[in-house]
Amino acid sequence: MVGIIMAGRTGASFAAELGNMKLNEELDALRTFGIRPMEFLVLPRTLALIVMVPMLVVYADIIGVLGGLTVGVQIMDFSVSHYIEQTQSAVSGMWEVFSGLLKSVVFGVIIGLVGCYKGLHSGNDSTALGKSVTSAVVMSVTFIVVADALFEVIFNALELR
Amino acid sequence: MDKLCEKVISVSDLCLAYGNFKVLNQVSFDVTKGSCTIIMGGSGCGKSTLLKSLIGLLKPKAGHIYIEESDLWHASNSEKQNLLRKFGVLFQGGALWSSLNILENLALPLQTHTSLSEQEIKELAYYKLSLVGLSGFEMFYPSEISGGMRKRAGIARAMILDPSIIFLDEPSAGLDPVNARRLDDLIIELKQSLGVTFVVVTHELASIFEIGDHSIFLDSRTKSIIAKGSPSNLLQNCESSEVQSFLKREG
Repeated sequence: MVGIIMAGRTGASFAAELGNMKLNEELDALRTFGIRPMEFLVLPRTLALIVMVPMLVVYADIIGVLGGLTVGVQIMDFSVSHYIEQTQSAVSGMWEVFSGLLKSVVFGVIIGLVGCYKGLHSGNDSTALGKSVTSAVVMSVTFIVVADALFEVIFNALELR
Repeated sequence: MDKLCEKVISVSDLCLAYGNFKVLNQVSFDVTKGSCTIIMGGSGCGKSTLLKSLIGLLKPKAGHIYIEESDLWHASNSEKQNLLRKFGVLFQGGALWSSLNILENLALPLQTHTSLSEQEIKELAYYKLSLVGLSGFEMFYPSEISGGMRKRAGIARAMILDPSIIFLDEPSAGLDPVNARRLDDLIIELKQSLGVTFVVVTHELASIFEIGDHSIFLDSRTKSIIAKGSPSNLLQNCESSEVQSFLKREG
């Protein structure tokens, strides 16, 4: 869920920002100073996502559990202790949490690279820029879904589930 | 050889194309040290494309570009980086990095290529900005200043590494006559006081005659150079009707 949200928000923003830089010849200006866009623009953005997406996943997990607690206690008349017990039994061991974090790192790489790639290879007009942004979101979401499925296949094959 | 006649750029049999679309064919010319060479011609004749190739952004289909006797497009990566360090480039719209303020725009190349301290970098950036009349605008972002100021900041950035060759793509386009004149004066001053070599793509007739020592005229029909020489010499002696129409601004 976090991966999809980040693809729509940050992946699109990367594509738009870098595409706009290309449109304004800012990328050419970097190259003439011998500064490689890959190192200066793509690497920091991708590293930032590798760090931040797992943190957002932890944040989303906590908010999800608290949201469930609120709904369970307020609407479904669960006791707090009952909710916590049920949650603990549902999350069997820390693997559930770690596998989510592992996947989120890969999702961060996908969102960063796809967003930057689409921005750097955008056309030279504003219509092409719009298309690049749309394409970055669609491609990121597709890759995230495929990567998620691959993770499940690998986890099952390794009997980690 | 006379220092002033030393070739700093030598272009031979250059062919440029976007995919299969040929833009320029068999273009050859030299740029001498400390001169201002104007690349002119009608719209779509390949002026900016030629400039892109000269600054290492567009690989030619054929031909050579020698910068002080090193072949730009056949040099090793490190050699090419060294050659690029000799260049300063002003792009058409200024091409300032929009997420950095003006001071940071000038500081970035220094941080990348020199071992100067932060204080020295700041002082140098302030000095270059004062040369183009932008003192007091150091903390402004490109979106907060006018188009003319962006161009002047772009020139300050082009000069930041004290390059021996500065390429300007339509420097006075979009500037009011007063600022365009100031820009011409700045080019002449830099050329005379520091011996900087300029290669300028421009349409502006006033600038062409004011700053140009040498010029080449590109023709979109033949996709090549149809006239070479000083702008005033071309005006007086060139028999080409295209060149005469362009320089006399005739329909």
